[in-house]
Amino acid sequence: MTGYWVSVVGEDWRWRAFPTRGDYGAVPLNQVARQIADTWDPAKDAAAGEACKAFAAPSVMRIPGRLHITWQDDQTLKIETDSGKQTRLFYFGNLPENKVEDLQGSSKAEWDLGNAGAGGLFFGRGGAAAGPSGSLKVVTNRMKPGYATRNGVPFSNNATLTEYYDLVKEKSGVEYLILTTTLDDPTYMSQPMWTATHFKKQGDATNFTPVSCDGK
Amino acid sequence: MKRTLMLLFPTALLLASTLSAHHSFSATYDTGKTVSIEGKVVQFLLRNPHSFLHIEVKDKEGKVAVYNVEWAAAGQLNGTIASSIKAGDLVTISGNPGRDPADLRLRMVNIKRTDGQSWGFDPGQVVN
Amino acid sequence: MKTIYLLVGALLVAGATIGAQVQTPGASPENGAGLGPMVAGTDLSGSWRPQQLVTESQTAAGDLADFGGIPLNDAARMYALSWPASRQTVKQHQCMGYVTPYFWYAPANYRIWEERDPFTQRLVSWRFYGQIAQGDRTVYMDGRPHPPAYAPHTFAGFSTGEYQGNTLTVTTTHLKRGWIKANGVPQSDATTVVEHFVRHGDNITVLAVIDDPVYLTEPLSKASMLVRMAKDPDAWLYPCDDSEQIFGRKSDVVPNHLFGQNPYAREYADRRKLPLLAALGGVETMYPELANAIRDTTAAENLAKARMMPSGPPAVSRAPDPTPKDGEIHTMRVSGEVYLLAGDGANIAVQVGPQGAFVVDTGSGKLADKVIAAIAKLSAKPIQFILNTTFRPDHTGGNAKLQMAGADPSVTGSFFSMQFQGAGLAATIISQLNTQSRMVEQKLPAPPSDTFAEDRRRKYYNGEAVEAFPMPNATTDGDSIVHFRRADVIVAGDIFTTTEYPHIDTKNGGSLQGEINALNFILDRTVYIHDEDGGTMIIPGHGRVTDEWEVAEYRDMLVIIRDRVQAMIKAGATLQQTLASRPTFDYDVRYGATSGPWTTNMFVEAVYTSLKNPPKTENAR
Repeated sequence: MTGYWVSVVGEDWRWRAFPTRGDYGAVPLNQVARQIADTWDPAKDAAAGEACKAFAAPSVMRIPGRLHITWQDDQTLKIETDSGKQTRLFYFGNLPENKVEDLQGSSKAEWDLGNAGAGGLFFGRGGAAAGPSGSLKVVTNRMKPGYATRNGVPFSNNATLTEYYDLVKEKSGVEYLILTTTLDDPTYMSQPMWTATHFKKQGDATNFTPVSCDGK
Repeated sequence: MKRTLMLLFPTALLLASTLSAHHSFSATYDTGKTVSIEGKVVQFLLRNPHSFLHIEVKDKEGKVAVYNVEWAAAGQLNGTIASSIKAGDLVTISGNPGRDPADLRLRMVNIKRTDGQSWGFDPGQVVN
Repeated sequence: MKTIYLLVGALLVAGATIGAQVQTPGASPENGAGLGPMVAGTDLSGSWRPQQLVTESQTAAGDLADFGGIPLNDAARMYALSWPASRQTVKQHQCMGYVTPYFWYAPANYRIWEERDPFTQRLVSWRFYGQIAQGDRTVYMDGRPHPPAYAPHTFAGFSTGEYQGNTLTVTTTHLKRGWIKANGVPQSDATTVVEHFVRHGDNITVLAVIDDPVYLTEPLSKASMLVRMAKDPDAWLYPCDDSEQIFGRKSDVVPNHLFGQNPYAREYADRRKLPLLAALGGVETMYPELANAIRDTTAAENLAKARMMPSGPPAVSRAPDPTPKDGEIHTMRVSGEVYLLAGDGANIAVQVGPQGAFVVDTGSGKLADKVIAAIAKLSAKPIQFILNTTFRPDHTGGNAKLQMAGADPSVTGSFFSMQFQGAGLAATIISQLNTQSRMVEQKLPAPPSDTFAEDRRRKYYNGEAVEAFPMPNATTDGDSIVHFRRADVIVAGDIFTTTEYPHIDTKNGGSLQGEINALNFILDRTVYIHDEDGGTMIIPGHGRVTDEWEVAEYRDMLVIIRDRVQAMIKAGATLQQTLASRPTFDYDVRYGATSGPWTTNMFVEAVYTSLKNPPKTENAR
C-alpha cells in the first residue's frame, strides 16, 4: 500500500471537484444536517481559518488529489494528502494517549483477513508484507466536527468512520487501491453514509503538489 | 368535439427521475412543461416496461397528426381505464412533451375519457 | 515480543494465503479432466441491492451531455453528442440488455449464487442475476478458455474468474456494444472488462475496469457498491416487449443530431454552472489535473467548442479482426445444422444433413482443399448446392473446387442428364441473376448456373426450409441473403460485416439506400430470445457471428451517415466538402481504414454518389 497514489475521480466529478451548496446527491443527511449544509459558505470558513473542515477524515479521501503512504514506524501507517496538506495516522498498536481532537480523529488499524480464516488480527508492517490476502480496516472516531462532504454536510463528534482498503493488481501491472467507507453519525445522518473510492498507483512523486485547504 | 392542442402553464421542475433504469425521463422529455391534447385513440399498446397510446389529434387548421403517449407498465395499469381503452375512444391527455419535436411524444401525466374514467389523478398513478 | 508477534502473524497469514489460493492446475472440461480447481474465497451469495452512493452517478442513465470523469476519445464524444434520447424509440433499442459492467448500475435487485459440481463440490461458476433486463451472467471458475474471436457476443459477455486473496477478479470478453453511460457514451464490442469484487460484511464493493480500445483513451475504472438484503425481495422479473412506439415511423429512421446541432450539448454544464470542458469528458476529467485544464476559462471554453466537432487525423479501426489468419479453416456450429467456416477470405456457411451439404459462398479459394476437408468432416454426403451471395472473388474463389468436389444427385439420371453431359456430376451453383452476369463478364471461374431474379428462391433441404432473397442494389445489384429457417440462421453476405464499412460498389449497382433496405429486410426476419440477445443468428460476409443486435447497430450507423451526407448534399456540398465534413468520424475508430481495398473515403464517396444518383432499379422494401 505504500507509495504514491492518485484519485480516480470518475463520474462523481461534479460532487468531488465542483461542490455546490445544496447539491447533496444521495447523501442521507437528516433535516438538522440539511439546515446546516444549506448555509455552507466556504469563504466564511476560510475567513475564520476553518477551510480545513472540508478536509476532515470522512471527506478528505474523496477530494481529488494524491496520496503519499508510508510507514511512520512499524505500528503506524501514514497517509499524507496533497489536497489540503492533511496527515492521517493509522495505529496498529495503541492509540496515543491524550491526543488532541482534530479533524482527522483517532484511527485504529488492523489487517482484516476476512474469509482467509486466520482470525483477522495482525500487527503492523509485517501484515502488509504478507501480500494482498486481506484488507486494511481502519476505524476512526473522536474527530473534531467538520464536513462529511466537500459542500458542507456536517458530521458530529459522535461520528464513527469505518474504512476498508483493498489492493488489486491487474495483469497489465496497474494497481488500484479500493477504499470502502461507512460513516455512522446518528446526529446528522438518517442512515449510514457509504462511499466507494479508488486510487491508482503512481510511479513516483510527480504531480504530488501539496496545497493548503484554502487553495494556497 | 373540439380537438385542440393547448399549451398549459409550465409546471414546477419535477421529480425527473434519473433512477429510471431504461432511460432518464429528463433526457427524453421536457419535464418542466406540460401540454394537453384532445383526440381519438388510434391504438393502445399494453406493454412492459411502458405502454403506449397513439392519439389522433386535429389542429386548428384541420391537419391531423398522431401523438405518441408513453404510459405506465402493463402491471401498473391493471384495473384502470387501461383495461377498457380502445381505438375510437375520445380522450384528453396532459403530459410532458418529448425533447425531440419530430417524435410528437408525451409522457403521460393524466388522461380523461369522455365517460369520466381517468388515470393520473390518484396518488401513485405516475409514469416512472 | 514484537518479533514473536510478527513470526506468529506471518505463519498465520501464510497459512491463510495458501488456504485462500490453493488451486489444482487449471483443469477444464475441454481437456477431459473436467474437475476444475478447488477454489476457496469470499462468499458473495445472497440478494443484493445497489447502494446509491454519495452521488447519483451509480444509476444507469445520467444527464444529457454529462460525460465528465470518462476518458472518452473524440470519436466517442461525437457519438454521444449525436445521440438523442429518442434513439430509444428505435425498435431494437427498446429492450436492449445491460452490458457488463453497466449491469450493476440499475436501481433493482440482484442475486448472486454458486454453482458447484454435484459430485466433487468444486466451484464451477458464480452466477450473477440482475432484475433489470433480467441480466444473467455466468463467471466460470474452472479455468476454461474464452471462446474464439469469431464467436457471438452477448450483453453479459463471457466471464472467467479467479481469486486474488479475498478479492474475486472477473475478466469478461465477447461483449456487445452497450453503454458506459446511457446518455450516449458508448462501450464498444472490442471491450474487455475486469471487475474486482470485495466483500466487507453486508457490502460488496465492485471496482470495474473498462478497457475499450475503440472509444476510450485509457481504461475507465469505476467503483460501485451492493448492500445485502436479509430477505429475498421476491421481485426478480422485468418483462420487456418492443412495439411501434412512434406510430407510423419507418424502419430507416434513426433519430440523431447532426454534428454541431445538438441543442442540449451545453444544458448540463450551464444548469449546474460547471465548465463545459469538464462536462464533455476526456481523460483529464478523471484526475485532479482537471483543475489545471480549466484554469484559463477562455481557453477551456474554446477547447470545449472545438471538441464538439470532428477534428484530428483520420482514424482507422481499433477493433481486432476476428477472422483467423493462420492458414487453417476454423469450424463453429452456429445453430441447428448450420456451421461457420472461417479462415479463407469471406465467411463460408454450410448446412448439413441426410441429403448433403448446402454451402453459402466458397471463400477466396486459397484454402479450398481445406474447406472441402472441413465440410467432409461435417457431412458424409457430398456438397449438393452452393449459393453465392455476391460475385466478389473472396466469396466465389472456391467455386470451382467445391463444385467439382460435390454432386447434385437430383440431376443425375433425370431428364436433364439426358441433355447435358456430366449433369449432376458436380454441385449446382445458385445465385441472383446479376451475380451470374457479373461473374461471366469478369470471367471469374465457375459462375452459377441456377439463377433467380426478383423473387425468392426456396428449397426444402435437410429437413428445413431454405430461402434465398435477392437484395436489390445493396452492395451490388446481385446480392442475396439466405435464411435457414429451422436453424434460424441468416447468411448475409457482404450486406453485413463486423469488420468494415459495407463495400458499396456503385459501379456494379450498389447503393446506400439499397444496403439499408437489405439490413431492414434482415431485421424484419429476426427474433431475439431475450432483450436483444440470441434467437436468429446471422453469419456476416466478414467477421464474427452475431444476432440481430449487431445488424441493427450496423443499420443505425448507415442511416446516421446517410442523414449527414444527405444534409451536405442538400446544402450543395461537393464530394470533397462532404469528405472534409468527416461524416463517419464517430465510426471510423470501429470500421475505418485509410489503406487497402476499401477505405473510409471510398465508402463516403460511394454513399455520396449513390445518394446523389440513386440506381434506377433500387426498390425500397
